[in-house]
Amino acid sequence: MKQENSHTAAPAPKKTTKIALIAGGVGAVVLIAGYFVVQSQVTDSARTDIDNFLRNNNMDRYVQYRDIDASLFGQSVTLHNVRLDFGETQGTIEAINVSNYDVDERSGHLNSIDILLEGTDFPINPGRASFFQRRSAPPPYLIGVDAVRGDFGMEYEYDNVSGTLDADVNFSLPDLMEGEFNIGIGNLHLPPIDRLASRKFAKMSSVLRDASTADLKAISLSLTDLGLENKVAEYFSVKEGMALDAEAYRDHIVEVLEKNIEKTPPGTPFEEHLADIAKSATGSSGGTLSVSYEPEYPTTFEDMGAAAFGLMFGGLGALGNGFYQNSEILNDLYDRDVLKIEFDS
Amino acid sequence: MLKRPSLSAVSLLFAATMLTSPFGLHAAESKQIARSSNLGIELFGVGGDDWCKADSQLTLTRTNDSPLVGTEEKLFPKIAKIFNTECPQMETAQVVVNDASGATTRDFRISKKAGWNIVEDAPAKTAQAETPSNTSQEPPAQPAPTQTQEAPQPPKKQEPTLAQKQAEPEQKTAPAPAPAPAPAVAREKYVSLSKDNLFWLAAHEAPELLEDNRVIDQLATLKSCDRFLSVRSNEFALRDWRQEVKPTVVKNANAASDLFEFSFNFRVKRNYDFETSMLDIGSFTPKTQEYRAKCGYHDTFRDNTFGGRVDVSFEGLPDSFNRKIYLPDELGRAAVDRLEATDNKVRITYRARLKGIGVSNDWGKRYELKAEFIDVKIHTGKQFDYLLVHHDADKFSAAREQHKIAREAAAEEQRKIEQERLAAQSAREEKLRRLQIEQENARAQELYESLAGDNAVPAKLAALYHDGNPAFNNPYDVAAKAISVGQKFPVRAFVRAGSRDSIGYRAEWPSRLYLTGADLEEGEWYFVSGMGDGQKIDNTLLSIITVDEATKCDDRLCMSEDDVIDYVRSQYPQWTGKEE
Repeated sequence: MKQENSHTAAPAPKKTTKIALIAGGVGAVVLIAGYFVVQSQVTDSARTDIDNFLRNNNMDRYVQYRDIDASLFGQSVTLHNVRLDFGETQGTIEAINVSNYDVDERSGHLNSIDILLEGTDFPINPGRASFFQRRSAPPPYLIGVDAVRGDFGMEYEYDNVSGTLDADVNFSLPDLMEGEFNIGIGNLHLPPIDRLASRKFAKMSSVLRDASTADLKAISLSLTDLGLENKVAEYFSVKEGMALDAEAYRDHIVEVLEKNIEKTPPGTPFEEHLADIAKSATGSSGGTLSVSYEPEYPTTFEDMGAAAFGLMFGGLGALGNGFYQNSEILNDLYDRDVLKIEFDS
Repeated sequence: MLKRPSLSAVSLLFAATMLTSPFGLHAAESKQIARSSNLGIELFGVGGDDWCKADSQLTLTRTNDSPLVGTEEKLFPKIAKIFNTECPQMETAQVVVNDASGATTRDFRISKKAGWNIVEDAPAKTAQAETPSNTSQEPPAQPAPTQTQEAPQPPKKQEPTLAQKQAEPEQKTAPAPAPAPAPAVAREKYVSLSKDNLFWLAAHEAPELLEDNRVIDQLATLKSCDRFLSVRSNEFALRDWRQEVKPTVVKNANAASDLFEFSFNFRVKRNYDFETSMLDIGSFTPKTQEYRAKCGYHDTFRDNTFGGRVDVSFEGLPDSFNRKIYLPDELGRAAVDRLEATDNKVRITYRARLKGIGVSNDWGKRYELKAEFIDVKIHTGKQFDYLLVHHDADKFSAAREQHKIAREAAAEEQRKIEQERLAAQSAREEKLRRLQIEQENARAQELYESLAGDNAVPAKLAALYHDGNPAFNNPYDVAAKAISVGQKFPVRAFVRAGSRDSIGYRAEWPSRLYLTGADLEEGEWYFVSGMGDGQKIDNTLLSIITVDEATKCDDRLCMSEDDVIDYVRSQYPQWTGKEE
């Protein structure tokens, strides 16, 4: 009995285990198969949605992609080998990844989205001269940049209840520059995504009107030179006929800058700080320039616009006092750490 | 002097010798006052440097073909200005006229009061007939006219010939300041201002025109065209007619007078000012009068010679002859009464003297005579027998003198102003010149500083070294511009040649550039000129210069400081040098 029991008792766990294994295996197969089926359905659904979107907006002729990959768990969609053709502007993107996509089903607000463009490649060609083509900076092809190649990313978070929006844009252009741009806005109430996507001017203008009452919480920009500065320096050395390479020309400019600063010394700590940054940025390559503005109190964009307008045209103010007023305002912002400009070589 | 019976033989010989050289004689014992080669005359004051007296002795020596032969007295009113300058105290002068051989042909006395005309107490006379020693001398070309001589058709004239006027255009008759009219003028006969008289006068003033048969025709047909019309179609008859009329024409032309009298009637605007007792009746200066010959076909000669037309323009009345007449009390009342009775009509009677002749060439030649007033009377009344005002010769002379003084004073003032203006202008110009020099010096210094020292631009120096033109292109713009315009274009650039490959020399500086079309040395600096183009090589847009000319530089800086100084000095030669 014991033996029997033991005999019979022994195979029971094996059988249970086996059954469990089989069941587990079947379940796994079902789960895996189900995952792939669902994954396939999600991918198909995403492809269909994207195709419909492109078709409905007459963009299917301009935007083409080779493959699409939708991630069930990552809640992301990736377009591979995207080709953009807008006539004179043509280019390719190895992958466009859209993730963290969250639209409130009831209100239709876009709560979050992350977009990553990997391996963009847009050629730049010199075009016909235009009467209105007057630039202070040389066109990219003159400094030897014949394409925009690199990665671009954007992260977007929006809370309709608190009215806060945080956006982060970063880019990386190998051999040229990489940078990051952040902005935080409060008291902003955006319309649903379908209305945002509307092309009607009246609605867009109402969006801008609403945005003008929003508050700027913080804004920052960071640029890291990866070789662009030397390209620009070389161009101006050639243009001015100085016959110096980029390093030597930058040294020459620093000398000129120091002489000018010696002739007209900075009037405020802020101007002195800017002069130091200009010397450091000109004299070395590869540094990072950071600009941030974080007001102590929320400031509406309407007030910001008026202040910016005043700053831009301050130099033309009555009797030239505007310039000194601007200088004082900027110096005050700098003193209170509201405005920060830093350069890290 | 020659009449003295007591002259010794030696003296006679000396005198004869001196007479053979009259100019030398007078030069030795007299002072030359005036001379005209055109008129062939020389005027001397007798007595050397002391010739000038209240009653001076003058000797006029003339050539035998002088246009003044027989009418030498006409010279002196013309040179009154010289008398006023050389001898202001001279009131009268005894003039002796000698011909080319030194023989005295005339003598007469002239007076300042008579406007340096011949005075009556010493009437002009011919000397040659009265002087036994002059019997062998050649008589004058024509007898000297006298003041009383009767002119046949037109009255005789008293003015110099056209040749004299052309020879001495600046000499004008000095007005006689004395109130008494010159006797010679007082006895003149005034002729009416008619076309006949004027044409004769014009011919007299320009006798050379009498050589033209058409002028003869014109003068001979002033009264009637009938004879001329009957003969003009027959050459021989016309020639015979001309030969017949020409002596009379010439005679009449020579004897023409230059004094006119004429009247015009006006209706005036009258105004009497009781405060000043002045009657204002306006001013009266006749407009230019035009006269045409009777035979109208003379109006325009096809070969543009003189037509049958004479214009007479009158001098403007002097300033003192304004429109206002001083007529106090009863005189004013009587004048106003008579003017009112005649509906303000007046008759102006003018007497005028021909002053000169001109020729107008527009629309065919014509005579243009000028006349000056001698006497003006203004009458009113029903018979025009009430004399309102009389401007006589004295008034005119005094007024002209006054006007002349005022004009000279104004001219002097104007001259001073002009001198001051010129001085100020000269000072301004000098200041401007200094400023210009300073500015050019500053520009030179600026140019020097832009080329030397810390501001030296290697490409600009190389361009100057290449061909003197400081312009250069940006090689990096070349490719884009060539693609933009779709063709090559001329470029100038400063480069450093690099290694050579299958395309050309890849520049070491600037890096994105190729050079083709010339043999260059690797690693050397060049300033090149040629045609620029753009091309993508290895997926990079590069500028390509096809070199036409290349100038090699020793180094990155193609010109030394001394070269720069030489260049600046070549552009601004007055540059004083660089400032430290």
